[in-house]
Amino acid sequence: MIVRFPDHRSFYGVSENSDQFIQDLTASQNSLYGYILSLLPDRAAAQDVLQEVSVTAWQKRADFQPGTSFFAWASKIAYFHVLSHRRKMSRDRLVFDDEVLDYLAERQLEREEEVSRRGLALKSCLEKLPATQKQLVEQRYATGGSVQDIAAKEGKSVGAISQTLYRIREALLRCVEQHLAEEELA
Amino acid sequence: MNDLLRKLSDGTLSTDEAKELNELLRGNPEACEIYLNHIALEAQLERELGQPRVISPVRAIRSISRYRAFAKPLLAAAAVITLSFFLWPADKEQRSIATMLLAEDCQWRSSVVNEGSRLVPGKIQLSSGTAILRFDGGAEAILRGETTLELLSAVQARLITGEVVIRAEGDAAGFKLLTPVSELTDLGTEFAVKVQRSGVTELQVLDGQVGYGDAIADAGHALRFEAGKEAEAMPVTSPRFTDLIQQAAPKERRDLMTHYDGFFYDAGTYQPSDIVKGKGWAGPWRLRQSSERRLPNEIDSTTDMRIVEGGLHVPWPIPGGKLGGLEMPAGRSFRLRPMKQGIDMAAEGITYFSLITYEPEHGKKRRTTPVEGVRLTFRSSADYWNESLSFGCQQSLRPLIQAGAQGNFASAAAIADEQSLLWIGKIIRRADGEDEVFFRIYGQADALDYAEPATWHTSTRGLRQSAVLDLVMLSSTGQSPRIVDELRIGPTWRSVVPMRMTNDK
Repeated sequence: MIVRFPDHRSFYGVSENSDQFIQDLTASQNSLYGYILSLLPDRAAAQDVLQEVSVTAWQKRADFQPGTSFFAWASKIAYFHVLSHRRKMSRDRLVFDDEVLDYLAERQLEREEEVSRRGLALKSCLEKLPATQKQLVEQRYATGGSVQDIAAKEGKSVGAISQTLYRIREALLRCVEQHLAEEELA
Repeated sequence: MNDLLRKLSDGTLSTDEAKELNELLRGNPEACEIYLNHIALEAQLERELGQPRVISPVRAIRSISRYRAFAKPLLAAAAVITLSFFLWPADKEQRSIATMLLAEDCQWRSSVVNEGSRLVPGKIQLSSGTAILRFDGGAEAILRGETTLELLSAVQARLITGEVVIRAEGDAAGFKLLTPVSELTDLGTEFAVKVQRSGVTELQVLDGQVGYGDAIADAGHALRFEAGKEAEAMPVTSPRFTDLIQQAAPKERRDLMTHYDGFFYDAGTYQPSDIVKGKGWAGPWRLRQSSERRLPNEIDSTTDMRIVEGGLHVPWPIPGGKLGGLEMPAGRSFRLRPMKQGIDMAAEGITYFSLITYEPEHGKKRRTTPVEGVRLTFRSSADYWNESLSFGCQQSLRPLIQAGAQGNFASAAAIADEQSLLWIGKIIRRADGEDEVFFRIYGQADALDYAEPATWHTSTRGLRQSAVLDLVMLSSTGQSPRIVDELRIGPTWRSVVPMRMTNDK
């Protein structure tokens, strides 16, 4: 009888440099996603662009200088991908004009470190949420989750769910801010 | 501003409101900070709580090396393409690590997990009922009642809350279960774990040994862990894995079968157009049309269909198997039956089939033309010669899947000859990503379980089909007649596989 071994049992070697590059690319997926989403506030579009950016980054990996900021390098690629994505979008779906877009892009570079601290703080804030709130947030931000689906499932109005989620986000933001403030004191 | 951000998050921001947001942000650094903080939170929540995206450079590189031998110049391109799958994989491209074996009376808090589904890393959230899954590393887990289990890999999971019983014997030993208070490693056997909402964790070792931290707990011992306290002994109360399966009493689900033909007629010779019984068919059996023959001389040896009784030895609990079967004559015999609802390879879903066959002295025949053997083939009426899936057994007695131009996938192991055989296949269809087909032939001595086996005789690799396979073809070529019976097609293992009811015992 043939036994189908799970894939993880057979690994192949990966050269050290590309290994490091892949690690950098992997590690910066979250911040790149945040960067893209801020310029293109649409979940699906931002995910598509992130994928394009990852491929371009891989193609151009020879241009990256080890020792410099990977995020700074990759976010430039992301910026151009966002611009080219905008060109393909219909005008009425555009959110930001060039002036706002450029300001946000620039500001994101300066905020890189703060954003990653916010991410860490958020993890512990999520742990502190009451179970029912946490469950709601989990449903909403699960892959494919939406306010409409939750409302239908829970038998509540879209407005009520939206409002509750809004309050939870406010609480999370306050919690994150407090964490950052405490860090500064420490 | 807050209202706009709320709508942005909900996906209900109108065009006018988008303009308003743009105006608010322009030249207003303070508003921009609020906006960026909001987006950072959104992005982080999504990445934190969404399904984990597994990035697997090792696998990416591995796929490339497979092509290296004959496609060196394409290496760079291949690298980019495979890598792009893994850096932001569509959910379907994610590597599956486990299979849902049984879902009995299950209510899910997360999305519904059907029996037979392949599972990717991420949380499964059960509200009630019993669910059994098997990790690809071999460990099996029973979830009961309100339970959230996060699948991490083929050999590792995290119990967030609820109860599981894990059985990890033999090669599966070493399975790791993470809990809020301790990391439990199965050292070759069976244990039950319960995590309460408070994080208090109970471990009961039902057989063998379980490692936790630097310590080992033996069979018959149970421990209660609470953060910041010493582990406390407690009595073992959990039922064993097999007892739980018995309790769940999985039953055959013939009601879910989508297509069925038991050839349930009196012995005799019939015209194909008279073989009309069964379930899920768009018409009776028929011969091939000339456009459906490869060569003009491939004309069938007979034009009728012969029903026989008693030609099969059927150890499986199948009533129909004893009553009538289809005898396919020596020479060439091809019979087609159109399905009402075909197997849509472009849609997401799982299809199982089973078929009983009997091929006398199959392995002893001389190699001749045409090839000796029975086949079950699924084809598309819209494009007959293009995509197809075909199942059979080579003359070397090795089970074989043929996927048209996409290749043959033969088993390395052979099956017993001179027996009635039960063919069972599983087709995992994906809208995006690789389709997977599995095939196993059970001999008279092989036990059928309540769920699919951990190992199949053969399976496909790199298969991608998109046709609607809505024609079933039974074919037999060679020197002697053969019998087939009990063709079943359905969405789950239990809908097509005969099972003894637990209370039969």
